[in-house]
Amino acid sequence: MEIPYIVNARKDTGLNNSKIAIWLFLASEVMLFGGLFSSYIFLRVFADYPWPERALPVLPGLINTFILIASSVTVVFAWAGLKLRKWNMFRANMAFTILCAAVFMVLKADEYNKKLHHHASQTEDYAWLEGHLDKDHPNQYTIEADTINFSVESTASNYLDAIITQNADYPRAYFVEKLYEKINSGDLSEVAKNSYKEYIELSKDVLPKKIDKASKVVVDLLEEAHALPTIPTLAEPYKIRTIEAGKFTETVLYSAGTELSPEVLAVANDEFIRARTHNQELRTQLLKDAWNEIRDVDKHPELADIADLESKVKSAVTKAHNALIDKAEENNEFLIANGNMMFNSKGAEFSLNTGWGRISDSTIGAKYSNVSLLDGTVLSGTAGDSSIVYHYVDGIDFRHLVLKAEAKGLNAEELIERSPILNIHDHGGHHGGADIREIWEAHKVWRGFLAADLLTQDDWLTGEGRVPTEVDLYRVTWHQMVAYDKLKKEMVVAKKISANAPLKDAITAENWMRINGELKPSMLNDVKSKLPEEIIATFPHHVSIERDEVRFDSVFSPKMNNYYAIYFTITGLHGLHVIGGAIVLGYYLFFGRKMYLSNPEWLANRVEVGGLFWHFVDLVWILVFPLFYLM
Amino acid sequence: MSDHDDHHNPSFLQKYVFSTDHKMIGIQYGITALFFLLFGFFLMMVMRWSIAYPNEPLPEWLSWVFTDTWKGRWLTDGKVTGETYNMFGAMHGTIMVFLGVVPLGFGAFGNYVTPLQIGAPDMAFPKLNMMSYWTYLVGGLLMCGSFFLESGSAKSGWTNYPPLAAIADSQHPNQFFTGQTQWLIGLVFLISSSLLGSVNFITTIINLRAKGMTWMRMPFFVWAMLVTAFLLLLAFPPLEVAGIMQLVDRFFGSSFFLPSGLYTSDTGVIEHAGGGSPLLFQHLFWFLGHPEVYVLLLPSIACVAEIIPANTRKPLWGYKSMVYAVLVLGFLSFIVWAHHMYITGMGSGVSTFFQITTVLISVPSVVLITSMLISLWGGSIRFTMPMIWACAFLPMFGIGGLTGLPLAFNLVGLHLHDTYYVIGHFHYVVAPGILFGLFAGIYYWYPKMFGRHMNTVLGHLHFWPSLVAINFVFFPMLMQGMAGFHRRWYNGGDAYVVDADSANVFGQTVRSFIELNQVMSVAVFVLAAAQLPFIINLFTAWFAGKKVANDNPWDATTLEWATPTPPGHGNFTFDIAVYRGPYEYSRPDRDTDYYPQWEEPTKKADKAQPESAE
Amino acid sequence: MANSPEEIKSHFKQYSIVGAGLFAGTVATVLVATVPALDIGGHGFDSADMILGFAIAATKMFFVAFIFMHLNHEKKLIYWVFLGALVFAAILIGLFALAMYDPITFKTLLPAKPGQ
Repeated sequence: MEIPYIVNARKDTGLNNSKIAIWLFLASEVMLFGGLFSSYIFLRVFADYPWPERALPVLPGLINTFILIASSVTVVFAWAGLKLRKWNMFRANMAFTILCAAVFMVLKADEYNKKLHHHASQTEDYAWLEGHLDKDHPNQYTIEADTINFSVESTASNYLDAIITQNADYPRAYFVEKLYEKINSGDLSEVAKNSYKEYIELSKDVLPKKIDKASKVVVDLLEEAHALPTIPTLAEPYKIRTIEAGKFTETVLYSAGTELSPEVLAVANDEFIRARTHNQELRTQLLKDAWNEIRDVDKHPELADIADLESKVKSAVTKAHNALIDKAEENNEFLIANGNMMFNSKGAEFSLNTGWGRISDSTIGAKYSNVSLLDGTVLSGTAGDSSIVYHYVDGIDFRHLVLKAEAKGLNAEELIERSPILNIHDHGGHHGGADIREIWEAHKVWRGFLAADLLTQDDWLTGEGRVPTEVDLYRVTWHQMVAYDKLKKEMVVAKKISANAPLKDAITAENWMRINGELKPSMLNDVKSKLPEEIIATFPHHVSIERDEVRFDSVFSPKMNNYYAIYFTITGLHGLHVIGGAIVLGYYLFFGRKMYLSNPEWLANRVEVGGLFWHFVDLVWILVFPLFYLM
Repeated sequence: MSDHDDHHNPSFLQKYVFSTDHKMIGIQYGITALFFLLFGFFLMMVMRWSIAYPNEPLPEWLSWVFTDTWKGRWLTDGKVTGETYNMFGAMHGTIMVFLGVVPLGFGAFGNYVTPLQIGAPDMAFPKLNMMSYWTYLVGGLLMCGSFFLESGSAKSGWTNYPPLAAIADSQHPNQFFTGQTQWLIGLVFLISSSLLGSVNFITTIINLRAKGMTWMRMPFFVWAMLVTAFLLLLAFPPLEVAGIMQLVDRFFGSSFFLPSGLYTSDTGVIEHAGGGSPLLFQHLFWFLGHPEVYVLLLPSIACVAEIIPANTRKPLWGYKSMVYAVLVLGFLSFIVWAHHMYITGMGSGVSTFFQITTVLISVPSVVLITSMLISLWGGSIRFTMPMIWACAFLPMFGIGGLTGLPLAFNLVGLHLHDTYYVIGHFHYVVAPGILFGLFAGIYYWYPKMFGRHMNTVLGHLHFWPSLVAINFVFFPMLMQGMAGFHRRWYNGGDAYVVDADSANVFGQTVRSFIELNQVMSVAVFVLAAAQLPFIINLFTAWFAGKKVANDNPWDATTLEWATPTPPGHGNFTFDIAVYRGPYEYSRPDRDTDYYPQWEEPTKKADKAQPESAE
Repeated sequence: MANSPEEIKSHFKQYSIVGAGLFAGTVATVLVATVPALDIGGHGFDSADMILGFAIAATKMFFVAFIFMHLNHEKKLIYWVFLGALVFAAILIGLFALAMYDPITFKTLLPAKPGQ
């Protein structure tokens, strides 16, 4: 049996099967991207926050557009080459197409990478600070926990497990680190140092299995490590009651003082589930017994007509059930299932992903702070340093603040002046906070000049003078920071102002226009994977904001806001289409020769179908580019 | 094209498991779908027990399926908890719609019958067809597998509305192994499966029709499949978008569907950017959701439309108007979706638009159902097994359709939203309507699939109790719904009942209708028992049923009856050509009361000629 | 659908011109969006910029679909399938954007547009 019309067109429809199929597939793709674009419009029209318009660097997007258009042209020529039976023409054009796809994806990956390493924090007053975080600072919740109340009943895959894992094989590695400090401080002998190195080598494998092979000194060291006062240990014995052949024995599963480890948590969870299973089974049976007893009309003639006495039946059953449970409890028929395990952690320090829970008080040194994790586990103790430290800041944005202030009828400018972002306390010889304040003062001068100048121009739509956008007024980008700095340096060199003069003095009626023109750092920086050092040097450095002032913070990932969410979703799906298309076209390029020799028309048909898909990918990008990069 | 028929003997795996033959794939779809239907039915029985007897533990015959550990986690004192009820409810809906009825109607009947009826040797892309089935199976198993996860499976309703669904199971550090996530991933698989299937169906119908099979000679079944495939093709992608966006919400912390300042009692204000809209999800969901209703319905109507002419021995009344009606229905089904969302408070302008289109769409539906009803008039009806089911389909679907009319209006919609009235309405459409039509289809094509008839006695034992019981299940729902019973009460309103002398009006209303719960639940258990004869029949008839006398046991006219029984690889043993329309029954100029499409005209008076298709 | 070699060859020039046109259109959109002197409408991004941007994008998409994807001499059937999908996508987008449209109290119901 052969399926007809695989290669040749059917006469009355004029089409072969794959041609119909690819257009149907493209129709569904239209609906897929239609759904995405309609979501984009919906999210943008009904956004209750300032939509970041023209927020992406244009040049990488522009280059990618060129690349896709060029590849679209070459894929047509590749197909034409097959139709003309010119293998080399096909090969060259197709190879170029696939090369284009590769370059496209590399540029895209670089763009993503930059976004995912760029951080922003929103303070409680809806102002935004953007920049790169200090990598040496945890930038997480830290807490010196005195007690950990572990919720056994929640799940086996618990957040406490995750914390132990995240804190680098805590607790053992943690002790070794403490030990290392001790070694470095010279408390230990040379022999101990070597043993320590050996221990580190061993710990790269699964530690507990190899531990007995460690030298005696290592064992001694470990004992010393365990003596350090930071191991979380069980506060009270975790008891279980087991049942075997109808006999109950009560045993202590973990005595008080047992160290916290994932195994302890997992075993306790298993025991809990076992006890719960048994108890539920028993309770179910007792409830059934209670119902049978109530239904026994001889014993309860008053309940014969159930329909009228619904509530009476219910309470009678509940009563009977409770009585049976009490009896069973007296007979010790239930297994113990304690839902909590309390650990004493004596000030062990933990760093916690902020998404896992919430810290009640993040002020450093707050005595009774606690972190409640999503699964119910609670770490209580003294709050550590949970502040967010920026290595450098490359943007400030008050648009959201202004939007909220206007909605509430408040004076936005006044609120901006009071914003924590403009009032950051510097310590340790840093002056990042003061720099931000200076930049903002300079920006206010600049936007004054801009507004006055725009008023003299005509708005084509309203016929009145033009006005600055919210972005002009309330957002300072890294381009502007660099430009202000450059102007000041020029003024100082020209001896118009002193080196100590505030930044705002550098912006005058003569030079302010250059900031949007020639001083705008070249777009080429956007395609470099990292900004040049001399540019970074002009940004405010070492800026630290307290956690309790932060409302929300994130890298520029989908979490940031819905603009980035839909940006990553649409371009990500588009990228998957590019990869898919390149794989299909690459298959024809590298494995098409055999088919070309046997049935060139079939290969031409296939390439046409693959090409149609490729054009569609191009078509989508033509819409994506202005939508995300220019609007 | 039949030269290469038997040049290789496929291995067992190739023939029965990884088969590319549309008939085997159709049977695979059918059996899988029936299993899923059975599973979905079981979930519902547990729920119905909880509704009718909220204070009693599950009886042994319902609870034996579960392990003790599972019961320890999900049942309290052996009673269904609210959480468990939500889980079962969400999965019942999902399984019935996405894993049961659509695969049975579109996947099984569509795959088996469509290529036969247009005279094609197979689907246009057999391998794609196989992939479609396996993708469906993987998606379904992923969804159902999540019952065994720590989190349980999805619990936010089959509609999966955020923000509830978007933050569900957030207490688990590993979001991948949560029911909600697995549901979404399963859904993406199912959508991919449907897209592959629909591309294949449309291409097949457009390009693989036999010689002489012009558009207006296609059986109505094929038309319905064509429209169904288009609905799947164009309506599913937006739901795929919604699924992907919700996955992004869950995995990457975005807020597509989470509004600003979202607060839960567990965690306080959720850490998220906000600015999204749950309404966006509802739009994307119902853009599929409504066409999906017709994806369920059309295959069933298609089966009935084939069975009625064959058993009344007269042509399908108004064939052309039915074709046009089904096309209009397909188009309109895309622009009625927001009538599921009146209560969201969308603008009155848009709401009016959707009311108008919703009322409009009843016109083509009525054309379809009326044409089939009129087809019975004056026929010499043979009450065969399939015909009995088809006859029951008509009034049952009628009740379902008519109870839907009030819901089209905003005011009534607001009052009845999320009550048992809505449940009663769409279950009347789906259960005694669509499923009865599909049962009819099973009894009708079974002889072609396996060469044996299903047992008539068992068939009657299946039919009559089912018909009676199912009405006792769903009719009281309409009454309860108008009294205000909410669809998500896991204890059936038990908490609202008040004493006879109480002044609480709502409590009194609930009190006076709550006993219907027990009527409905008992009817469900009877209904379950009534399916046993069917299951026995389905499997025993395979080897013990009465053998068919010839290849055309119903004396029908369409092309599937021109094949050997069961049809071999490549379907037709001769070069098939079509000479006339699909329903030429009882022609006065003929000796027999049917004139098959493939029979060459013998008299000169018969002018029908195969129109050139090549 | 061009099938004979001569026909295909005769299209080469057309493909190249359309390709160049797409490049030019892309440059034009970027210039309009980034050079202050070419900023139409009000200052910064506004509805005039949006209309111009979409107009250029739509033209480019039209040429890709009709020339590169050969819709200009494709069968009627495919025409309908693709245009049909476009119509449904337009319905989807349009009704989403209008989701809150309310002629009675739309001024109070529409959330304020930020940034404008």
